[in-house]
Amino acid sequence: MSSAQGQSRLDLSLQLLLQSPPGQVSQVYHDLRGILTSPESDPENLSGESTPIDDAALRQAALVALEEYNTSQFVTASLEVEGGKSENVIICAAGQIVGTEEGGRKRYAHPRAAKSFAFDHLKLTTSDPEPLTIDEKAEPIRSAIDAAIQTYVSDHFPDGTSSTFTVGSSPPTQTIAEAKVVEPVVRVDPEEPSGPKGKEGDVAPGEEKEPGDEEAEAGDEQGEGGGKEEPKVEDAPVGDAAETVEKADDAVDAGKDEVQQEPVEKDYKFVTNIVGNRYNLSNFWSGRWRSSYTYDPKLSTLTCSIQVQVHYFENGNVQLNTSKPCAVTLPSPSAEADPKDLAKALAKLVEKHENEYQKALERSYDELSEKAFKALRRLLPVTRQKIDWDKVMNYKLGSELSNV
Amino acid sequence: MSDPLDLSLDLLRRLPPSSIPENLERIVNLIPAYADDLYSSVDQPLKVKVDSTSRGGGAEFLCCDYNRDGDSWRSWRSNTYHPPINSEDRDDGQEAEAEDGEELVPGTRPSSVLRQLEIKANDAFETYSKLYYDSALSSVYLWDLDSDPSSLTAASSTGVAQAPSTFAGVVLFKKEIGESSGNGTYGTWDSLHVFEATERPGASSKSGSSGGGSATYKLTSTVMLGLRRTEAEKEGDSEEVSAGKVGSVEIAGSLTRQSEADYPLPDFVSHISNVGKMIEDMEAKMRNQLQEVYFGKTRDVVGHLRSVESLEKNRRAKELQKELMGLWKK
Repeated sequence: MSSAQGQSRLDLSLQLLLQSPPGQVSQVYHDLRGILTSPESDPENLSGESTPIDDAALRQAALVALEEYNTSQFVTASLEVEGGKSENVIICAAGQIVGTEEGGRKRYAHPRAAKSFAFDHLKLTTSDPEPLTIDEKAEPIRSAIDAAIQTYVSDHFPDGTSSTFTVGSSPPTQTIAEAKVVEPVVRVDPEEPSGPKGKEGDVAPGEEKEPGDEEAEAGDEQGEGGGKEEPKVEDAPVGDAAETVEKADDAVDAGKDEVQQEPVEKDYKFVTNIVGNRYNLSNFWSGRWRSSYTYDPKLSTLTCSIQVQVHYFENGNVQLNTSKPCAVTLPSPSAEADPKDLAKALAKLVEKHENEYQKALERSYDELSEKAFKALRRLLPVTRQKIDWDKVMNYKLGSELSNV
Repeated sequence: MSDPLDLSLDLLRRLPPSSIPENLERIVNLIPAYADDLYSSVDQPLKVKVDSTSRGGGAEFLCCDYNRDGDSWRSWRSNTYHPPINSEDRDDGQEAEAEDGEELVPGTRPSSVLRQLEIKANDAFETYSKLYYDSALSSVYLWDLDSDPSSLTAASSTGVAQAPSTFAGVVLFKKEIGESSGNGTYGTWDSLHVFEATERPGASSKSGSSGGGSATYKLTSTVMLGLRRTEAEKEGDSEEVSAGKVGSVEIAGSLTRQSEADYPLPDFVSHISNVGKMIEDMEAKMRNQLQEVYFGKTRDVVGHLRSVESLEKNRRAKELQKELMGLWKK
């Protein structure tokens, strides 16, 4: 009973953790940790059996939930690439490299830089970058889509990150490194919060970092119009797109030297994920736009989904949640076309789709405000005057008397 | 902040408002020792129950933590608990409730003076509800606080009785529009106004005239508002039609505000119009704030996330404007 109860308390906690609003996993984790470890909450008091949930058990369990959360939320992190530069990467299922788990850290692909890396779902840090084996046949299309979408994203998302992955009959693979050198961890954002938001995170000094700290801190510091440099996800400038394509090409060459199976005709698909985050927790709001596109060259279809989440919590808790699935059959695209033309056409389609979605969302706002909200409660009674309370009291009295 | 109750409240301020009842249950399971504290500090959408007693006449009444006793809720219509409390020693429970021997029946109830006021308040707020909501369900519950007797007397069923100088109450409204499933628009409004009324000692002598006392009111109001629009794609929709459909959009949440005010209190029944005015002002204010937050703030954040306009174009337009301004100044 005791272990089963401990287990179910963990399960309950993880169900709550998975509902964290954008940029606030660390706060939710902190609250849960405090609740679970408080002496009053120990079920010993009730059942006579002790089922303590210690930090280690919570961390272990949270790791699984956070992997689910991070990949479905398209959490971003910073990855060190060649020349001391770093690029933003999206942690998502499409980029996950199967069968590479070591010590609880799964590896993910960053095809733009032809890298794979380990990701810590608790600390949101990347480490241990290694060359990624590239599928030569698919790469020209993938990198062209990646570049075209990047251009689109930087033109519409003030704080957006995108990544395109090749998925096919065989998942992304990595080259086997002879010697594992654990590189210094690249943090999304280095320091503990020190400002007034300290109470928000409330991390005890000396304590190990908790999940989402970095992400949340990045948001904390984004004072609206505060003139501060926002330590946010950096968009690669449009001009960089060409460079990345070259880089990817180099990687293809490098890949030739690797031991590789003869490429066969595969059912490639290209998954493009876009995420736009804005966190301003000191002004009590945060938001996330996620969209995912799967281009299937064989069927020439584009399947898409867009999800928007907004959390506003000044003296209350208000959240916007939207979800739009969609499947588009492309007019006359061809996988045989020049990859750049194809990519441009796809990016145009994505832009049009997202613009129309955003306009539909605006219309829904009007609809809900003008119709639903007004139908729930009037601003004033039909008389356009506030209630005359003496009349209300007398009216009732009158009707009571007439009933006698 | 390490008190489990504070942590729980912080948690519920972050988790989706549309899942508050489920998440509250989860937290209660994590810290059962705090169940009562949690239920009394977390506002949940109001439950609707049917009062099947002869006095209740099968009509609906609203339930919240303030008319709850254990797992039962008191109906203002008949002053009885549903389901009945301690049903095992009450074979003739229905009978006992229908009569006036209410003190014999378990469960907290207001004193008879307060109960008279409660009935009048329910009548008044039913009128309020018709005027502002067209057809919302409303309920008012009052309860006694430790207090000295008031200088005012109040009529009660047993003749003239001493009114309490302080008491508390809650005024509830609930309205729902549309279908909760399928395409279209759905909306829910739950408002909950908890107040404490305290007669000001010696205030009656100040005004000079007879019955010219006053009372202080403390009000805490919460409005829970949920709005949803669903436009699902249908088989056979053209691409253009489906592109214009929004899928599903939900804005849900709650706002809480507090206020305090003094009003003249010529007689005991004036508490109703005083609280009525206060709630009327508060709801008007909160309705505006809901409008601003739901359709202003969250919408602005979406605009911060993604811009329909090309950012590059905007940048160029701004630069051009700067240039022109520069020329103008010369």
